[in-house]
Amino acid sequence: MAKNKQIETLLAQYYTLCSSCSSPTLSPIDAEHKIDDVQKELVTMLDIDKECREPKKRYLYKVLFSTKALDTALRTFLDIHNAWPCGTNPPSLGGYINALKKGGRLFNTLASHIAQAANKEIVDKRNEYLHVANKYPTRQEQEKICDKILEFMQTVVNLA
Amino acid sequence: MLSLFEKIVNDNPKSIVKPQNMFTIDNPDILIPANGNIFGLYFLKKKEIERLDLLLRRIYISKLAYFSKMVPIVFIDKKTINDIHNVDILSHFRFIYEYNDSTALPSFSKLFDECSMDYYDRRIQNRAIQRMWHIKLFSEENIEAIKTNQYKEIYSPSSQSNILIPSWPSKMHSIKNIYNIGDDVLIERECRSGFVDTFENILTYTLKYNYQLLDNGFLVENKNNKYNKFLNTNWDFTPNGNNLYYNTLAFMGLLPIEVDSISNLKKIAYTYSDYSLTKHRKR
Repeated sequence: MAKNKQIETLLAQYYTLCSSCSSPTLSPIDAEHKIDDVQKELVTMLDIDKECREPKKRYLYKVLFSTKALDTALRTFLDIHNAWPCGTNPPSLGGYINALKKGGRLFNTLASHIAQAANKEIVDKRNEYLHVANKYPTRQEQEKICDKILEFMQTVVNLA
Repeated sequence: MLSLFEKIVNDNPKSIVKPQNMFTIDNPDILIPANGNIFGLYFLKKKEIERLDLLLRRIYISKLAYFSKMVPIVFIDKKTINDIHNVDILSHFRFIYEYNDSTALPSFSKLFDECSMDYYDRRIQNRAIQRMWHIKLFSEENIEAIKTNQYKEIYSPSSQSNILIPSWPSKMHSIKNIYNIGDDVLIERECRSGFVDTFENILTYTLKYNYQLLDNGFLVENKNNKYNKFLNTNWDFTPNGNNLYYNTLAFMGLLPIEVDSISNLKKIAYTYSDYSLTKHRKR
């Protein structure tokens, strides 16, 4: 319940950003649809408890859905502020974090120690569990990753 | 009959009742998205009517924790306005909405022009968030040093029984259960006291130690804000435990630790200061 409310509160701030979208390629409505997708992933992340009984798969799914949500949230944030030049960089979480670190005309720069922490505690962990065979997070590790993701999303929206 | 609170929620389908920010326990009572902004609505609680400091803390910490387009509005029931001690301080803000039983519902799209103003330098918010991450990273990397399971109340000749801090609306206010030790603010709690009151006291104290409320309603940083601050406690504040309370302390620049002596506390203070410098050099 508390996590639900935190997600609802967090996404309300992202939705509000969408109305000031300055991208030539993304309309405010399209940006809102992207945040709808982020919300769906986060809701799935919460609901997976009911659908998947096997703990290790459940924890892996939670990491998967929450990192998908983060990926789209960061890309949408950068697109809203016209800070992700099309065709120049392959889309990736690490690339988005670097772009946030560089800053933009319309948002503050992400501090390097936060970028470093996001890479270490989110991107590296995501790669460890989603790209390596027979590697699964424990419950504590999964909770830590998911909490870090939500905290990082709040940190990013506060840059605007 | 529906209260104004209920009417506002019914009239705004996108409103969020009792929102919860990731960084703090201090939140508005309702969030309402309108006109590309979010209004944070604050309805005074009974204890906030008795102690306006608590309301001001709730507004300012949440304003720091939410993104910049959150516009706070305080809703005051006209019946209670005479009970608020030194209500004049609220006139510093343009976001007061007085109401009684017959007050019409506010139009949030129209209210925006009257309310939109920032209450702090954006760099203050950035620094609070950066410091929170810094404290969390240090705690995670040094968990065994800071969480010793050997908590003792620490006393020193310079400990005070109660800290006195200036109250925003009135005279000095005594803060119970926390102590200063030494020159930097090193705080500990008294085990016998209740959690909520002590936690709230610590928050109010730290906000007012770190920041100053100017007459125009703006919040500015005090020079104290640069000091490292530690909360020695056996409450279970760990970075991987209850994140919300931990984050709230870290957001206010407090690092919760659990040690049994001043010398151990000073060791942590030294390691933390060294860690801060290392991180600073990396930047």
